[in-house]
Amino acid sequence: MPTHAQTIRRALPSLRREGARPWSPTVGNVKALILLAPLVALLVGFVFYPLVKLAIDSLTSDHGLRNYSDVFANASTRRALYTTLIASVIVTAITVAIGAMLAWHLVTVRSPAVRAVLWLAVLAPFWMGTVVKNYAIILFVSHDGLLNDLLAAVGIGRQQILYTSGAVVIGIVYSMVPYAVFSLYGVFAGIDQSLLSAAQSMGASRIQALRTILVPLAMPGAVASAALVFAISVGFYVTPVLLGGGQTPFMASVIQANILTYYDYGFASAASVVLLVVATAILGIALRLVGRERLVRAVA
Amino acid sequence: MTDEIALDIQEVSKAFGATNALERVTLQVHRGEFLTLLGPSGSGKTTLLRMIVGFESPTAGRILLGGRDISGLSPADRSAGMVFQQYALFPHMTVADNIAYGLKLRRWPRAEQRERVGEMLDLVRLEGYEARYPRQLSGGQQQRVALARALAYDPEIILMDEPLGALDRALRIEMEQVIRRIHRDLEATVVYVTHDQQEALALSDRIAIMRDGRLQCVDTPEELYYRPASSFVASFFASSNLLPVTLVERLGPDSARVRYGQDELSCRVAGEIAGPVQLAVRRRSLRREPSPNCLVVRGTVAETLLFGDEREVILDVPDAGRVVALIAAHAAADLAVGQPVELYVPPEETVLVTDVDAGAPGTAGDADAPLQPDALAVGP
Amino acid sequence: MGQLCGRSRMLRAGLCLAAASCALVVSACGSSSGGGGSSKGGSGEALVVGDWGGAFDQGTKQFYADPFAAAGGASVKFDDASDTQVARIEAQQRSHSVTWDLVDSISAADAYLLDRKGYLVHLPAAMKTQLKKTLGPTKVTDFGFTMSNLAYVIVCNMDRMKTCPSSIPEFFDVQRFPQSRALPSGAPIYTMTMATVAGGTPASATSTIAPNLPPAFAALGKLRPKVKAFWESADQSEQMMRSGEVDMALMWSGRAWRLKDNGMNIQINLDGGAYEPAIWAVIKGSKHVDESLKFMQWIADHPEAQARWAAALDYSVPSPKAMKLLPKAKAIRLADYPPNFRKLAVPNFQWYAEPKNAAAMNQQWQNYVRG
Repeated sequence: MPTHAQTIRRALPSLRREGARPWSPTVGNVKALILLAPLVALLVGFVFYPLVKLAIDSLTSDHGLRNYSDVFANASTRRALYTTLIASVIVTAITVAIGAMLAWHLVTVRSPAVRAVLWLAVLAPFWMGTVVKNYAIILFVSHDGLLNDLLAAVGIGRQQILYTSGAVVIGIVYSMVPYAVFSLYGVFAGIDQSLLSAAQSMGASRIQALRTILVPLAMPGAVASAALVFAISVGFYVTPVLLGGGQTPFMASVIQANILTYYDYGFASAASVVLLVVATAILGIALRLVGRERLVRAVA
Repeated sequence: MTDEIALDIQEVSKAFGATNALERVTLQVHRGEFLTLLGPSGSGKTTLLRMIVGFESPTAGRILLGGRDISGLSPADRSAGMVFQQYALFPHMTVADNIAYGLKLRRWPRAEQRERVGEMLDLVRLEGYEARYPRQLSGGQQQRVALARALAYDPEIILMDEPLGALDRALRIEMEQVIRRIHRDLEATVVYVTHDQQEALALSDRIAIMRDGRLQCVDTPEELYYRPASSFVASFFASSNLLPVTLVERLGPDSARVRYGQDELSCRVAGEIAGPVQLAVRRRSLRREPSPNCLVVRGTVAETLLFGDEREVILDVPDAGRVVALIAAHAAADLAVGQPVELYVPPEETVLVTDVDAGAPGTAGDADAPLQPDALAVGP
Repeated sequence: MGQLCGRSRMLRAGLCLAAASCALVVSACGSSSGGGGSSKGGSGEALVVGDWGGAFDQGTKQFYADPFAAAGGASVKFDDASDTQVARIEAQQRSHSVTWDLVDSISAADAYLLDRKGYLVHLPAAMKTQLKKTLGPTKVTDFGFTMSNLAYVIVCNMDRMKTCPSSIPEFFDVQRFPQSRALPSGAPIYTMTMATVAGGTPASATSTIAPNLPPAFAALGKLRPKVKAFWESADQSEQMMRSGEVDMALMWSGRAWRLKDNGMNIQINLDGGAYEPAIWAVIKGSKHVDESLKFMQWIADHPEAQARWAAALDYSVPSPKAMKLLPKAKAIRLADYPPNFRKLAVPNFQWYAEPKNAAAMNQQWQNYVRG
């Protein structure tokens, strides 16, 4: 199908010869490819090539195929994989829930002052460096931290939170909430508020309206948001080290240790491939369950 | 329409912070009546509607529906059906599911739901569209589904918030007919919000005219059109010209004698006269031929616009500003811009009104309600 | 940056991993970095040292490289490769583009590993004999000598306890010392050396006999319920102590002294600590082997330079003469100060350099940490 620009060009050949081509917002295929070339080159050079190289390395370096059997035979790596996936699923659930509440308030709140404060709270983790962010969480959950002061004050008593998987989950959630809010804000902003009014006018309670109207409409976006959060969470490695105190191993930490501490590149690359494949498979299954059609509709 | 009162709005006020959106509005709607809330934007008509359906609660006053005080109830606990300007159809549900939504909430048996959905689709002439999604329908079809959805569960009252606002002109007229027919067939009680006086004229049993959060007057379209009670009603509802006059004497309850420039004439009186007065003259009342004891309006032609059978002639009139006349096209063919002209108004077509905007020069029309050439074709 | 942080195995978020994976994936990466990539042959060209960056490079340049050049030696350039030295050397060797002549203060465990792979130049016999005489037999290996040596020590928060474990067996005794502990999570050779002592091996024998792992892990197993956290970076070990999250820790001596200097009420016990030497070595494939060896010889022969270097950087140096030249207050904090050195358990690096042995220990250690 000829583009609009091509149609105009054919209709006005003389203009073209004089170099006074009419401007058009659509770009021809060739030009589009040229414009995209740097991006494609970046993707090939910095995503595709390293991934392929990683896969090849995992099969050829050090012990070859045995790298993989080592990964699966290794109890601590299996545990790390398991911990990574379980923690990421929990993080994803909590993050999307918090993100949904924040995003919904951001969409519906009337007061500009409240909205500004909410945005500030949402953006704050973005403005902090990884280390600062994690130390902030350490201060929050440590033995003498705010959370424990609170628990002590309400009579529950001080709990060991720091250096547990709970602390790791809190830390990752804190980092990930902005991602969830950003993606869900777009989803919620695209939902006509009068739909909820309509539901209520027909006899739905607030909860019923949210459940029958908002939830189904937001679901594909929420799943996309969850996929984003999960994919990023799986790769965390500073937070598990700083907040988990070594006992809550994430695959990325294991991979990192195998590169920098134990110099086992074959193992590290095989572990990377395993993590990549398992995480991708989980994402694929999750997206499958939601249904491609609904996702496409969410994006469109 | 019956004498039974379906909706009783008693002294209702609503304040948002320091601004009063509604002030002491009292209004009764009879069972089976089609009542239109008409007013420019910001007049409080939508706020009043939202309070009836329950999205807002009154700051003061009560609202009774079928004799029951519903002021404090949630929307779900009122029995209202609402049609929104932007349809507000649920995009993830089929037409049938949209219509059945209220029925499901009321736990109707599945078979009865299906039967009712069929009836509703017959009613709005959308047979066979059950399985479609809203995005597969045209604007007019979507609004018909919205109508069916609001009617399906037999609410005590139907509320419509500018339901035709998003439609183009041809569809609007078609939908007006659909709404009229359904109202007649179902004998439904309808409160309808619009800023378009033409729609109000075409649909309503009675019209409540609102301005700045206050109810100006409630009456039949005919009364409002021919016997406006105030300068605002005359100009907003009938797009009348308002001429500066002084009251000479009251001749009786329905007539008075006024002075316009050097001339004196008798005119009709519809509402209460208090304070400064103006003479309301509808656009079609200005003629080229004099009649006995008629009002003479002298001015120069500022502009003329041909609207098919009629021509709109805008005059610059000293002391009165711009005066708009609609004259049969053939009778106005000779009028050219800049030409001095005299137009004549039969005295029985003039109405003396209280100038509610005392101080502001009387001008014809209103930015919110431009008069279309065939505006009166659908009038009474 | 903390003075000791430079040569720690700390996680430097992203950077290390990025650099390392760069070295892994794009093997040519190593050749593009650093200052001396272009030098080829000839004694007039600069030597390139893979080093720790920051203050460490500054000190090494000021107290070793500049005087060496002034005395007629080659000039020296530094390539900051903090914590990624092994990966960088590995990459250079694999791609046959060796751009470093020397590596400074690489952890002994790493040095033995690199030597096993044949990446390090062996010292000429005469030089080795002479160095052993100058520095002492424990400070010289086949491929280099030690520098910036550290000790893992027992550190106690004395606000939380009356007495601090004064030996390895006491540190492992959870009945007498039920307080919580932090252990290093990486570099298991040092903690494991201490654990073998807890398992019954005399501290004086650890450097020569193969570690007896089963009793060592049994001792660690008993300790495990009291291990509240494993630290990955030296910063983290300080933070754990400072915040009171743990009552005692195995941590680097320099970091411990810093806590004390900052006013924390701690006790530092070197009895039962572990010795962590680091090593200067020449990289195989260097175009300037002779000149590089001369530089190392110069450092070994100048105890006053070592003393100045140690005073500036707070790291220990191999020369006994340098120890005597240092003010006592400084010297007693260092791992090579003879009374300290005598108390420390020295790991068996030769054993650990055997991949099979390292794999077995690392594997079991990782299971211990993450289990």
